[in-house]
Amino acid sequence: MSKGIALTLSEYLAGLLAVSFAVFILFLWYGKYFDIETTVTQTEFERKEINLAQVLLTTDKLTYVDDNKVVHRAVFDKSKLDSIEQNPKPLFDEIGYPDSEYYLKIRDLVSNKEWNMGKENDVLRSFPVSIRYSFDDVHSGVMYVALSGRNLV
Amino acid sequence: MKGASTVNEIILFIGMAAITLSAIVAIPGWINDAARLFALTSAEIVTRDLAGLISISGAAPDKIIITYAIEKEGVSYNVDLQDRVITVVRLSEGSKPSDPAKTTYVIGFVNKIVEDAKTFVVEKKDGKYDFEVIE
Repeated sequence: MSKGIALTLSEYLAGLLAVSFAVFILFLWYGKYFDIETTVTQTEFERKEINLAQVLLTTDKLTYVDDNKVVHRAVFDKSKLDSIEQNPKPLFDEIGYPDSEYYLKIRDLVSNKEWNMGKENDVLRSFPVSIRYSFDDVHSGVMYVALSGRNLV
Repeated sequence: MKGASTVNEIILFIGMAAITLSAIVAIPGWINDAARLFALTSAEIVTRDLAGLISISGAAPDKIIITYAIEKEGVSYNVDLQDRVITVVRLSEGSKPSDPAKTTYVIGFVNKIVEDAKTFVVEKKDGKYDFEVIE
């Protein structure tokens, strides 16, 4: 009787080890590998989009630059917005990833005027900005950015 | 005697079960830490980090100097910056060079090739960009 129990325990122990090993391997491959890969890919795309927006918030192609050549970050110059909306190529040539396009929309929250550049996209990331019409006329606004083309993440 | 043998086996079983369960809980964490340490110095991560730093240097209104150093011993990198595409190869003592890792950055940076380097400086000054190697 006790010999039978001892044999069962040995088998049970071996089975437990085998199952544990299998669970461990599955945990490593499915639980970690794919999770890390997905997270890295997703955050990389988001990081690229945020970096793009940060550069757009500073570029002198859009922002107000005073007489001392100081760039006013996130303060867009209305006349520059008008000009770039008519011809966005200089902006896209200076700022942009070589493997993707982006859509840029700036909305004046006071007058509801909008400036749109690039191919329209629904998935937008927003950033608060100001829009400077003149010395004493500055409106609150929002900059929307959407990056498209995830092939080279 | 047989009874004693069974008791020993039960104790062994409980001990092995406890060790196995502990291992299931602990070992993935150790492997994760080791993988993360390796991942932080992998060509893919260095490529993404450098591309991100180059991109974000364009967001500096005035000037910026960013130093990026890999502190792991025996590891260095070949970096190729060309037309907003960065390619990095990891060189490690005792093993062959890694496959090239590639990604893109958002600004018109300098085109440059550096070899066998592990400390990099991304700089923007007076509207001009530069990429240097310290070590």
